[in-house]
Amino acid sequence: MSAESGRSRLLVVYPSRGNRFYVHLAARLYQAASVLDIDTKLVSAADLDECDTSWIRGVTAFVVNPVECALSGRTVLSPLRKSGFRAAVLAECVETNWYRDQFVGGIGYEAVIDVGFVDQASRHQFPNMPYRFLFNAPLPLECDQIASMKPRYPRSLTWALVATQTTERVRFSHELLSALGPECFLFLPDVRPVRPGAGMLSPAALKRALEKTKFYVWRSHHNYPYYESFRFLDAVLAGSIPCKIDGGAIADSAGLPHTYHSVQALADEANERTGEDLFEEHREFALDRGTLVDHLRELLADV
Amino acid sequence: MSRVEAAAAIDRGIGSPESSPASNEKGFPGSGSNRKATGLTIAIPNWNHRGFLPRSIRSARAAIASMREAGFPGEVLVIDDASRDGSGSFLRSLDGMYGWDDVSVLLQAENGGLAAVRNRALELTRFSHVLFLDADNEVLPSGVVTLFRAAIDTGAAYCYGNLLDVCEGEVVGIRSNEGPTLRLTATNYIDALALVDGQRALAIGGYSVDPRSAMAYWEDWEFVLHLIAEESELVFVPTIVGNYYVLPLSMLTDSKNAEHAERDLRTIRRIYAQTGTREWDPERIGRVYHPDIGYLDEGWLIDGA
Repeated sequence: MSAESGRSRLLVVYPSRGNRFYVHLAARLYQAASVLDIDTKLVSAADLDECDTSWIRGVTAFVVNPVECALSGRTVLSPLRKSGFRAAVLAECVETNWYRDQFVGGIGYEAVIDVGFVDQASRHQFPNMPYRFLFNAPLPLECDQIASMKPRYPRSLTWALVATQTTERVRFSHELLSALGPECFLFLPDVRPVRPGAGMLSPAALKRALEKTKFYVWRSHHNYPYYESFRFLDAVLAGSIPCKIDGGAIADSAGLPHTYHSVQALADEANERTGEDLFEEHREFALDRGTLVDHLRELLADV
Repeated sequence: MSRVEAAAAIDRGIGSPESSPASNEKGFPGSGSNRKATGLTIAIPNWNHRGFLPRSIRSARAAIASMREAGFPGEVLVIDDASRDGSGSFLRSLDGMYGWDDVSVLLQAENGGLAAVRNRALELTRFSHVLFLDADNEVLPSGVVTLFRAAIDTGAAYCYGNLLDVCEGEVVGIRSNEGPTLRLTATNYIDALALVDGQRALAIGGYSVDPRSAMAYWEDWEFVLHLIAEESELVFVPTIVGNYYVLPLSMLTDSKNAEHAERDLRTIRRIYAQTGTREWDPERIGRVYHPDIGYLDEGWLIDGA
């Protein structure tokens, strides 16, 4: 990352419409960059045309989920053609259509930045699009919160499943009910974007729910190997134990704490070990790999 | 089911939905009283579902036992709507065999229809709240207690939670699975298996039995829309409340019935969504609440973005 005069500059663009999850991702990048003493702006795609064009000229631009940014208009990202370096920022499994669709049309990018826990470079299928991996570590403040947590179990709710509904997930909820019991938080609304006014859970509401929940359980909505790093952070920051149920696609060597081959495997471990023990292992994983600031610094030095 | 009043009611063949509970059921629980004790009646309307009654009654009794453990009184009320499949004699046999003290039964001499039976339950309950359980479905005890606690905490007129659809032993879907929005004016995603504040339900006339409004197939949907129109609060509770059994021969699978249902649908939309655009109205018509957490439909400002 270069600076024409004085401080380096970074523009983080997020979708104005679409899923609120990407606003959260953009905000975390913005907060991490701010700690690095980079002149950073966080701008919605819809407001990009109001941005000072001289500031955009030559800037490093991170566009979070270009497809959802384009929901505000096909040409809404055009001002970024004057930027010095453009990267699409994603948090998706590389084999899915949600990942592939990002590279169809649009303004063109010099790189894709994949935010997650597992480097997917070997499975990235676009040789002309350089791949960069950004480890989704906690922010410094989040590290402090995680370090000082003293969660106690049991909690009033044994498990939580939060996702949009599919038949597979409904069956999954029934498995959880049978294996872990009825004290649950089940939120499976019909598919639509997670945003204000849509009847979906806000990030703050999810946090409050997880603060009362022992196990935050999820399963991918596809069959490729992937670990949803934001689910992990949501859980740990609420003192809940993240539990990814995965049929075995994720390699054990990825070093990820507790992914389970089945709901029964989770139930068995829940019977054998205390919640405090399980949480401790997730806490260590969260704190032993530096902060998002460290990883962003490394990445920016390379672009 | 051994309650004397229930037996007396059975023997009288109580049935006409138009008859006054005060005049016909002097001894029956809840009759003749406006103020009812805080508690829950699980009302099971039955019409020709004899084969399913053991499952629904068993689950309702388990739920009432959980309610009592949690410190809330409750009862089960089965109302048979003049079934032709021997449900009446079956219920009498159960009474004779088990003599349950937490179950009352009312056998109607004439068929009044589902809406009338539900209204009957609202009149006869001796408790503040009624949970309607169709005879072919079942409830999950902890879900019922959670729903009741939500109703008490929020004062909502109508509380509901997730129901898992079960077909031939497999879980195949979910219903009553999200908060109330004006999308309800376009499609009904809330099942009748829900907890209702009895007095408030009666105050708006209960479920519609008016033949002119032709609500024979969507009376539960119309009831929910009526509550919304009267500015009563609906609350979605994100827990699992029970199983909804999808049966191959439901009323709506019959083509003639489907035709009538389509006509009723148009009637409902004429009343509650005349312009066809209310489903896009951002107005909040209900809340999402869990008694262990609090309200869950706020908190959208995050991270300064």
